[in-house]
Amino acid sequence: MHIEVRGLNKSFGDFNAVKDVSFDIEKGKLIGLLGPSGGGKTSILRMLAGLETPTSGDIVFHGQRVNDLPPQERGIGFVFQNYALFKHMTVYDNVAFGLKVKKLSKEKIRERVMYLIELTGLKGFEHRYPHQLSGGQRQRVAFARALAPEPQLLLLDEPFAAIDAKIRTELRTWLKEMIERVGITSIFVTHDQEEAIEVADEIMIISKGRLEQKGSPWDIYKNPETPFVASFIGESTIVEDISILKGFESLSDQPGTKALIRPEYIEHGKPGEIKLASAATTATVRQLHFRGSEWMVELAIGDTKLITYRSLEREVLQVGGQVQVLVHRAYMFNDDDSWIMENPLKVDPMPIHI
Amino acid sequence: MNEIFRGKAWSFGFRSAIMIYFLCLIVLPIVGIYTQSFSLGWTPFWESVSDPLAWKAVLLTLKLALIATVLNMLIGTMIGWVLIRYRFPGRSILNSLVDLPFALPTAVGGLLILLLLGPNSLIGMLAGKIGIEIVFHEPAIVIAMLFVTFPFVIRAIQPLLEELDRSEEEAAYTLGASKAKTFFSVIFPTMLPGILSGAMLAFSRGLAEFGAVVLVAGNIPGKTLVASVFIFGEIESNNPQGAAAVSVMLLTLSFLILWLVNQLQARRSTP
Amino acid sequence: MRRLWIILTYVIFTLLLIVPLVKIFTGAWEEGIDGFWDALSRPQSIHALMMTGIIVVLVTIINTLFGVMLALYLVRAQWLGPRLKRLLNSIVDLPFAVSPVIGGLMIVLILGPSTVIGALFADMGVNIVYALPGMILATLFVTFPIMVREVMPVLQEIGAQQEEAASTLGAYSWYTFWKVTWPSIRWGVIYGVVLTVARSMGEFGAVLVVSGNIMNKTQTATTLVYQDVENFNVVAANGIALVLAAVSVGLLLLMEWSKKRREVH
Repeated sequence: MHIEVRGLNKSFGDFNAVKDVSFDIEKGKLIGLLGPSGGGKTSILRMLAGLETPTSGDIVFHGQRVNDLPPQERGIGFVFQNYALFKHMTVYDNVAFGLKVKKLSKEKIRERVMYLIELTGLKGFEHRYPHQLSGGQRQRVAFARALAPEPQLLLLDEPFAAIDAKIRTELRTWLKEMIERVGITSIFVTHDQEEAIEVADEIMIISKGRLEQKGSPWDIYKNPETPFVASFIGESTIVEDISILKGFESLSDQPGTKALIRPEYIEHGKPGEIKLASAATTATVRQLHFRGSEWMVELAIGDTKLITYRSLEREVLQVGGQVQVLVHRAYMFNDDDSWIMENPLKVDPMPIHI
Repeated sequence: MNEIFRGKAWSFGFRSAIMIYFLCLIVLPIVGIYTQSFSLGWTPFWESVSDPLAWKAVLLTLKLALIATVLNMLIGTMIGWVLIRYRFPGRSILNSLVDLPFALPTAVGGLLILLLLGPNSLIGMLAGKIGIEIVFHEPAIVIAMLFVTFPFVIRAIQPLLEELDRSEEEAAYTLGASKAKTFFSVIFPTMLPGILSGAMLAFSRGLAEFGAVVLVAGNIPGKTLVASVFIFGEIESNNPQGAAAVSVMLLTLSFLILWLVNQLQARRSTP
Repeated sequence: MRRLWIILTYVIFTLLLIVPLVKIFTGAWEEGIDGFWDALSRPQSIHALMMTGIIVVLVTIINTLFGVMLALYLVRAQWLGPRLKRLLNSIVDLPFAVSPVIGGLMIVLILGPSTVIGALFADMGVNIVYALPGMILATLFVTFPIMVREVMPVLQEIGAQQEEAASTLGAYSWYTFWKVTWPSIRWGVIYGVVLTVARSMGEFGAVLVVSGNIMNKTQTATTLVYQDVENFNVVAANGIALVLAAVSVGLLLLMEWSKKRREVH
């Protein structure tokens, strides 16, 4: 189903939960709504489902405005955060609920329910009650129940939040596969960026009720459009005064501009290890943290702190030792503007001064 | 579309019916009694209220309900504690029995007190010999109030005690607190909101009680005539305006208590 | 120490609850089975018990229907603003704070024969006060909060999510109520019904004021007990009281049973 949202607003009393959000979603896509808790993601999802009425704005499914349609008539499936399984019904009855509402024949219901139960790997559990199931199984039931009436759009509210970290990854892959196999347009809400990056075709970043950026995970990582997105996605250090770094001296005349640097933008090495020595700044190793598969290195240039990683294959650094640092690019921002700046010395190395 | 409209009309009608029923049954009578008591103006209202028999009845009710409530707080706290914390034979039977005063008609409760403590009973005679009069005197009224309000405090503190995390208590012990110290600094503060809200409900029920009291009080004006019985007497002697005036006094008092209980509970649910 | 507390608890229970309960069962037999039987087979006894029965049945049905609906609205309805909801919520409790005598007086004041509404009904041939309708109204007023107060916390605890899930699966409110909400609140409602039966059976003050306590016409079981005591016919009073107490004990057992079921679900 093609979804269009225009100028969506939602306020609860004085609190504006969603502010002027607009987006389009193509048919068949799996979209992740990502952002900090309490940022309005769930409100957007609930408005799409018809469980909440927008204060203003339009929601259009397939070219038809659905604002006034009740949830019963929107053709959506909704997976709740705590699954909201009907606790007095068996797995079979839970999955069959939406089909019984449609008054399908008994044989048809049985056929569809058994198909879904098999699809979700719940065979043998049909006569259990929700309280007799594990968290992962409950989630599968919720998923099967939402899919049973063949909705056009699947909405999932924090689908993995109530599941143990151990099986969460496994379930993520499973869900992605399942959604691809069914081929249904899906939107899920999460506050976990790893989850969003791994599962979603496209991510929408929501913060304080606003849509900050929409795009593929790689796109968002590479080209963050707002300081919030830049700091929310991936790891980074914020540098107050970047002009102390070689190549970024020109920024000394722009007070108030800060830089955001990701660890992987920083190349470091003992003197001689960096080819573009002219673009490198000298730094002191402040701390070394062993991270299992690599070293996390805390560097200091004057009062400025930088964080980067070092492969275990390379020579081990000493705390207090000197290293050369080359910053390839930085994400710059001030009150009015933000941009990505490549290190100019890297592109056009300056002649060596004697 | 037609069907949706019909559904909306239905639910609108349904809602309105429920709300109108609610307002007519509860709000209208209460508004009615306030307007009725002032229907003849301030002077008759004031005359009814300042009748010494009237305010003596109200004062007596307040005093006796207060005594019953204090007794209830002590007994209720103890029983609530024993029933939740100790395991002993008969515990669950006693726990079920707590609700008996809620299930038993109050008039039957009054009759029982009359039978057990009346002048013809064993206890009544014994007490009479040492010069204590129970039935048709103040002690009987207090006992009647105590009987009908017995479950309130117990039922209010039980959930609090059940919720109390044992580890909080154990933490106090590991920090070197004695049993008594732990009780007063950890357990008692947890129970206190329950004791208070239970006590206020008991107090307001005590003020309002009629069935159990009317049979045992003797109803001597100015001595053992409580407010609700006084009001009943006024109605019987065809003075509805006077009855309404005293009712308004009693009602205002009860509403204040109810409001306090609500405040207390609201504070507890949003700490 | 611990033993002392337990013994003290037993003492209080015995004095305050167990001895009276035993007394009522022995008291009714004081003049043998014949005395008990005579007390019960008087025409006014049979009539009074029947009146009580009618009131209990009608009041319980009406209160259950309206109580459950109102509880649903007060917890779930979005068409009520939060402030209005809070106001209505506190109004629900008012009858608990009103002395039953005053509750009866209110109905006499509004619907009595000398009032406008009362006269209007009297012209149509329906007497409210000093007749059955007024007694039912009075009992409804007194017992109204019970059902609402039992159902509301259950509704709050189960939350709206299961109902929302049902609506996204295409079910409308009526279907959702019976298939999803009702199974969850069932035991709360049953507990409320038991409490309502107990309270409406035992109601005395309000009914006494409204009914005028006319023998064989508007007398209920509790007002008959009162009249018998006033007439120093203690044995007869005991007989009726025994019937009432037996029902109460039965209700108490039902209360315990439904409370346990409620906790399981």
